[in-house]
Order: sequence, then structure tokens, then C-alpha cells
Amino acid sequence: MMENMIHSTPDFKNLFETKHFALRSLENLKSKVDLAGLAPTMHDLIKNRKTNGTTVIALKYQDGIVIAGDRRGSYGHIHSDDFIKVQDMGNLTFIACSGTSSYIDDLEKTLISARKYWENICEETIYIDGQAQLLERILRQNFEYLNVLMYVLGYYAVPILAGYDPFLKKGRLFEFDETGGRYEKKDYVVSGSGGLLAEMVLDDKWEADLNETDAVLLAIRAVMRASRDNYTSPGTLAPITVYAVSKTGSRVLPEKKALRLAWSLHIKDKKRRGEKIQADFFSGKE
Amino acid sequence: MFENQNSSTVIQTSDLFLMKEGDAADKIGRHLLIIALYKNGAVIGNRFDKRQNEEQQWIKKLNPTSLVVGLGQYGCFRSFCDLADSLKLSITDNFLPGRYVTLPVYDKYLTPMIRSAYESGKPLALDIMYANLRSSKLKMARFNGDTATYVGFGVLGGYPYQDQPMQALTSKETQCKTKQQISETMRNMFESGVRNPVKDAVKKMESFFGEKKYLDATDDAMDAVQETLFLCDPPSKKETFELTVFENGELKSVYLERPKSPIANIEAPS
Repeated sequence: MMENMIHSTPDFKNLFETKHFALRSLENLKSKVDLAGLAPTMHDLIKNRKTNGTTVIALKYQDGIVIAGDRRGSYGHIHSDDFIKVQDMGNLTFIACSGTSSYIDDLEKTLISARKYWENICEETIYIDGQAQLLERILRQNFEYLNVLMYVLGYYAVPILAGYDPFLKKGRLFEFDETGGRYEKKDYVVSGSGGLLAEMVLDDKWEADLNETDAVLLAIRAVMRASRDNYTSPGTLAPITVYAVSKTGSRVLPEKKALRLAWSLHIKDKKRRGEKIQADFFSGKE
Repeated sequence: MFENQNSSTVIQTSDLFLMKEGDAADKIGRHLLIIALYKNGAVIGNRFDKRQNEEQQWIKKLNPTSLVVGLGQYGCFRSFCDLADSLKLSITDNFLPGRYVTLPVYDKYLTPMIRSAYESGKPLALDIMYANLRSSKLKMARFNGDTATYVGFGVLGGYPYQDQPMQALTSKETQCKTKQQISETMRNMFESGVRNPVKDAVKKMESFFGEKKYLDATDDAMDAVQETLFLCDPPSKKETFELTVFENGELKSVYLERPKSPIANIEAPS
């Protein structure tokens, strides 16, 4: 009797509806795109793929994490400085992505919906550890849907997830790749075309016992450093988005303060190098 | 009788349902499983037969603060536990870390299976109860899919049974009586022989709990469960009881013999 039940029901994988993890945009695309027909043009697509410039970083400090990102959205030579790339996912968790903006938007909405779905099921608040696993699942499942095509079209995102884990009583950082690989980092994470440049600053200056102020300044410096050499993510054109998260909650650095701090770091660097101070620093909002 | 010869479809009739329901209740049986909560843990008590039962066989620890207990056919409970394990594995593999696989997750995915088994005409001979130490609530699911929430303590099993076999009416009892009077006499005879252990057990446990949501100490809960079992569990050949304490994520058991009633020791004068 019970054996029948076992044979008929669980694979539990099928019980959990995939609709909570599939990006709607990919669901539609999957039914419309003929992969075989596309094969001859793939080479051209890869060659002419537009890169999406971004610098987003997150680092740990003694009480939690700081997450920061530039605001530039670009498509070839066209760009806009109104993209807020660091988003609050709830429950002391923040996400920042590099990649296609529509994909990022869809990814964030799907993660929020998956989190709420599971919070209803398990009647618990899902913090960063749970959200990281859900995000991994979303990325993996959607990569399985379109794999090569998705990558060829440049329709993907590389997120970082940072937040405070109240159970372990410390900040946690997760780095993902577009195929759903999840990697936890102990010190800092970067993503985007400016990530490598920012990583050089972080590698040089990061310390385990940074306080919140120093961590915020380091984050701004790292994003600015990346913006200087990476044409797609200039931190000097718009205020950098910075959030600090600890057990007491999350705090956003006000835009004007972020600009002022960036400005003072910029001046200090110029002075140190004996360069002339130019009027190269402004914000659209100022 | 109910099988369609050309396929394995079972024709569901109300008779079949009643028969299966009675069958399941019979298999769960007259003996009791009592669970009582105290401040930091729970005490579970049930009849124990060294030859037939494994230690703590009716208890499945789900995580350090919650467990599920069952009573009925051991095969059904074992399969239920396997399903719980496979559910946990699926979730931790695919969706969330282990600490999010809480009691409500098991309840929401596994309890409906008991109902669907009943509705498909194959009720499981199994009653279960989920206990969460973080709240004083216990959730029971019966073999027919009925669910109920209790506070402080819960009792499984204890289905009504006939204490003594019915005797045929003597000619004296039927003399000068109408048909209606005879059927009334027969009903009284039947009802006087029916025992309802669960009702007695609940009554006894209520006397320990009063208005409390949980008892204060382990000893209080042990005493309450022990006394209730000794008093209300139907007599059987093996009079051993297993009392298990669940505290700090650990299960520890003690085994007690029910003292024989003083009347049982009276010997015939030589």
C-alpha cells in the first residue's frame, strides 16, 4: 500500500514547481528561437557581442559587509548614468549584478518571488545563506534552458550576493558565474568589466579588521579606480551606490555624501601625484 | 470483489471506504502513545515489547527542535520516515540549506499524502503527530487525513474496543419485554463493554496540565505520561512502557514495568 505511494509520488523535484525559478523572459525566448537555424550566425554573434561595462564590489568589515556599484548602463557608445546596480533583496541581503540589464531585472524579481514562496512554505525568514542557494538554483536552471544561445547573445548576468548572516553572526559574500556556480569568499568579491581593476585596490588595501568608515572609503576608492581605466563604468560621473549591512540593519550612503567622499579621495590622489586639480568631477544631480 | 477484472481500477464504494477505515483504525489499535511538552523538551510514552519493537521506533527526529511521532503499522511509519528523509534531501540539494527544512515544510508536503492515500481508498494504518519545541503546539494528522492542533500534550491511538465479548440474552432478560426494550438492553450491554482509552487518557492528562501550555520540568512531564499510560493503556501480555525524553536535540529512553494491580496478586486459599 505504502509502496504504491512511494512509487507514485516522490521525486520531490517535480513537486516544487519550476515556475518559481524560470525567468519569464527566457521561457518566452525558448519557445521562439530555433537553435539549429541559428548555428551559422553564431560566430558573427560572438564576434560582435556588445560588452556591458560595470563595476560592482562587496567587501567584509568587522561588523558586516559593504556593497558598492557604479551607475552606468551602456550599449555600445550609448550610455546612461541612472542605473542603480545594488539592490536590496530583503532580510539583510543585497545583490549587485553585471550583465544585461533586462536579465538582471528579471533575475532580481525571480529571486524575490522564490524567497517569498519558500518563506511561506517553511515559515522562516530566509537570510543570505538561503537566498544564495536559491539564486544558484535560478541561474543553473535558466542556463540549462538556453545554455549556448544565451551566452552567445550576451543575455546573462554575473551577480554577487552580500549580506549579514544572523545565525553565523558575520557578513557573508557570494560570487556566482553565469552557469550557476556559487563561490563563497572570505574577504571581497568583484564583478563586471571593471572588476579586475577594483580587485587590485582591494587586494592591496583590504584588512580583516576594517571598521565601517574605512570599508566604505575603500569601496569608493576601488570603484573609482576601476572607473578611471574602464570607459564603461565611470564613478566620476555619478554618485556611487554604497550600502553597509551589519546585524543592526542596512544603511545607504546618501548620494551627496558619496560624491563628497569620492571627491576628497580624488583630490588627495591628485595631490599625492603632484597633478593639477581639474574640474572633472560632477554629478548630474548636483 | 471490488476489483475490475480488466484493469487495476478499484471501484470506490461507501462500503469499501468504511471497511478500509475500520481496518486502518484496527491496525492502529487500542494502545496509546502520549506526548507531553515541558519547558525545554518533550516526553513521549508508549507501550514497548522487547521482542516486537525497536527502541524509539515510533519517533523520528526532524531537526534539533522538532520531531514527528507515529502509531500504527510500523511499515507505514517507516515509509513515512523515508519520505521525510527524501523530502529533506531534495530541498537541501536543490533549494535551501538544511536549517530551512522546518516542521511546516514536512507538514505541508507529507500530511496531504496521508489524505490522498485515504481518498484513493488505501488509507495508511498510521496516525502521526508533529511536535515543535519552539511552540507549545502539536499537530496531529489521522489516517483519514483529518488534522487537529493541540496545546501542551497529545494522544495517538487508543481507538475504542470491546472489553468483553457480548453474551447472548438469557430467557430471563427477554421475559415480558417488548422488542424495543430488548434492543435497549442489548445496546446498554454493548456500550458497557466498549472501552475508549483515548478519552480517559486525555481526561487524565488534562488534570496534569490544567490551563498550562506546557509543564515546568522533565520530571513533571515524565510523571504525567507514566501515570496516564499505567492507568489508561489497555492491559496486554507485555506490560513494559518506553518513556523517551527529547531535549537539546537528543533522545533518551527509560523502560518501566506497569505495576500489577493488588487484586491480581491475590492467590486462592490452599
